[in-house]
Amino acid sequence: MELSLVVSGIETGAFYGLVALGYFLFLRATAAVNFAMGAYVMFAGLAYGYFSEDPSAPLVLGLASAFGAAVLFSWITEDLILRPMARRARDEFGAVMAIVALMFVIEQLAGLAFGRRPLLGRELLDGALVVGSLAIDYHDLLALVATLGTFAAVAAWLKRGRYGRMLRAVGDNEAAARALGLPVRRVRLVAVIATGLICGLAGILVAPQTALSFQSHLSFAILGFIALVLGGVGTPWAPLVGGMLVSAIEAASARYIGGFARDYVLLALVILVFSFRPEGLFTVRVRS
Amino acid sequence: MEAAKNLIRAAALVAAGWTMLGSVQAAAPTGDPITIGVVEDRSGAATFYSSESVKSVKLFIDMINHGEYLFASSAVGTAPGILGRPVKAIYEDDENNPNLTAVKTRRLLENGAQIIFFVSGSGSTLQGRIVCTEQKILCMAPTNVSAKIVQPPNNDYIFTITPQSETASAVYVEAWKKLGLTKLAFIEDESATAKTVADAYRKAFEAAGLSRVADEQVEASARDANAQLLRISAAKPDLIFDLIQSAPSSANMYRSAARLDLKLARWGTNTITAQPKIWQLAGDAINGLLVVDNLAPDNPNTNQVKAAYQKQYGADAPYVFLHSMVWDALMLTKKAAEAVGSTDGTKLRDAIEGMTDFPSSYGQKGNLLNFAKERHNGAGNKGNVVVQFAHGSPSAVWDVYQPN
Repeated sequence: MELSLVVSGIETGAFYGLVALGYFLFLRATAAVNFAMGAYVMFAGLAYGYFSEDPSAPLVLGLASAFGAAVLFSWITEDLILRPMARRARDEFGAVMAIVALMFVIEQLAGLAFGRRPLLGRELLDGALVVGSLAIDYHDLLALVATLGTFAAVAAWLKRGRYGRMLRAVGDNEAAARALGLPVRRVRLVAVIATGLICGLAGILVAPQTALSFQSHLSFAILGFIALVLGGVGTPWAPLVGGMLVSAIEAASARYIGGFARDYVLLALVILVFSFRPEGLFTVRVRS
Repeated sequence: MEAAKNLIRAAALVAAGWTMLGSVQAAAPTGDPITIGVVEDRSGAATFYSSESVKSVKLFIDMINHGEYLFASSAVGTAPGILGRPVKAIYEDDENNPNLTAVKTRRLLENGAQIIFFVSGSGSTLQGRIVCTEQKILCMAPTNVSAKIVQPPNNDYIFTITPQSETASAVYVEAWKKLGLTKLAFIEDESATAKTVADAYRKAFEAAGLSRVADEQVEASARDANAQLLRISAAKPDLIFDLIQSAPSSANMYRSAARLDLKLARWGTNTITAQPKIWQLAGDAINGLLVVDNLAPDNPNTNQVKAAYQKQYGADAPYVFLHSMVWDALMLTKKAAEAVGSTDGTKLRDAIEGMTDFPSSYGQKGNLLNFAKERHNGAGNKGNVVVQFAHGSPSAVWDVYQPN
């Protein structure tokens, strides 16, 4: 495979991995597959693009609005939609429908707030690293480092952090966690805020790499979900592996079969995974 | 003596002013407004095009109500309004969803629309035109390019302004013949519109004896098009023909081509020139691209309407062919209504079918619109202009070939 394709594949895989990490944390906290994840990322990316378009505008405005919006939406999903629904009855189908509805509400909000034209954000670092005939933007390198750093931080937090360990307990068995007196609601809130921050970061990093529009979220949501499905939920690093896998399949199928083939190949893989490893998708294995 | 002269001058000025004021007051449109119903897309895939068209509808109706017709006054006169009555527009959003268009069109008619303008996608117009035939209402689809809109069935009451893909394809073929380019690579996205447009071009180019050595698709919201461009490069075409409809995907493709340093002639359609955001996002990567567009920088009619548009929306507001098409459709409507003294759909249709050599605000200098009973698309060859991107915009008329 050409070097340029490998480099862009790694950049893309890191992005899908971040989206999948958002799914992973939200799933751990709420036991819900949050398809609005792509919409959080899209909204954050557009917010960053909108406020950073003017080179004289302070970058902090774009950064703050991206993180703020993603955290707000993540909190709304858990606190105002899922929790009240769960209080009435545990209806997974209803929860998924509510999340899908929210996804389209965010889409239209983005169209109203930032216009329906595509936006490109300002790069966090200017310039490029030139190696032979290959030029890699410093922003892309930063995105890769930030992604790896985020995964390492989440892994360490889940292993050693107070709330991280409690989240593992809540994710494994919420009823048992409650019986043990763990602050389940606060733990979920922390995880949901962390999800928002990850989506905000993903939006900020992707906005200068690709032109975003209010309709970009669907592919983010689908590819992030496929990354989660392929990688599994066994470890916090699994979404990154899944993201890299999705990106590699995407690039290889587009290069060696044709651009039309990507969706077929990816969806066939998802069906295979669903058929042969369904236990790792919507439920977390309870430790005996 | 001097004082007397000054007094006479002052009296003359007052008289002239009074006369002018009187004439303006007398000519102001009065009575019940003529209502134009506009089917737009505020939330679907055609939002960008549609919102640009709606901006034109609003401004140009205001200009009609003030009697500002620029170059078109030679055809439509100078009286404000239509039939001496003010004009207003009402709007319905069909979300570029053909299943909704007929319903929305009917709702506009129920709310008093006498004439319908479709500024949503071509697929939507194809459904909406059924209502035009049923209700015998004049309908205009100024910005749609699909030839099917003015073909039977249900084409009796609908007219289009933009040159259709068939005439544009003839221009591409002639241009490529002049350059000796025969091997094409298509790159498109997976949208229904891209497929429809690409199929029409494929058919036309095959009929002209050109060979297609690559057909590549870019996924919706793809981050780059590296893989597709590498496949195209391996197929060794003479040129890349860009049919990507989505602005983000299109911009990403040009950025990818620049990163890969692809040395291939690049041609595209007026989808690109209609979306200035693509140029802005692609930056210098788009320079050199050739497009069969509908606006010529040296057309004085275009420049008059452009100046009025930019006076309203700002000097930096991009002016694209969509705006000119809406202008022409409104001027045709005014001319037809005043020729027959009515807004009756059948009379208006007959009037437009009889219009020839109508001055247009788009195309090459001197472009004229011509209609007939069997010809509901008014565009001719001079409606097409080959332009080249330089400094990030379609700023140069191509000097190798222009259709005439």
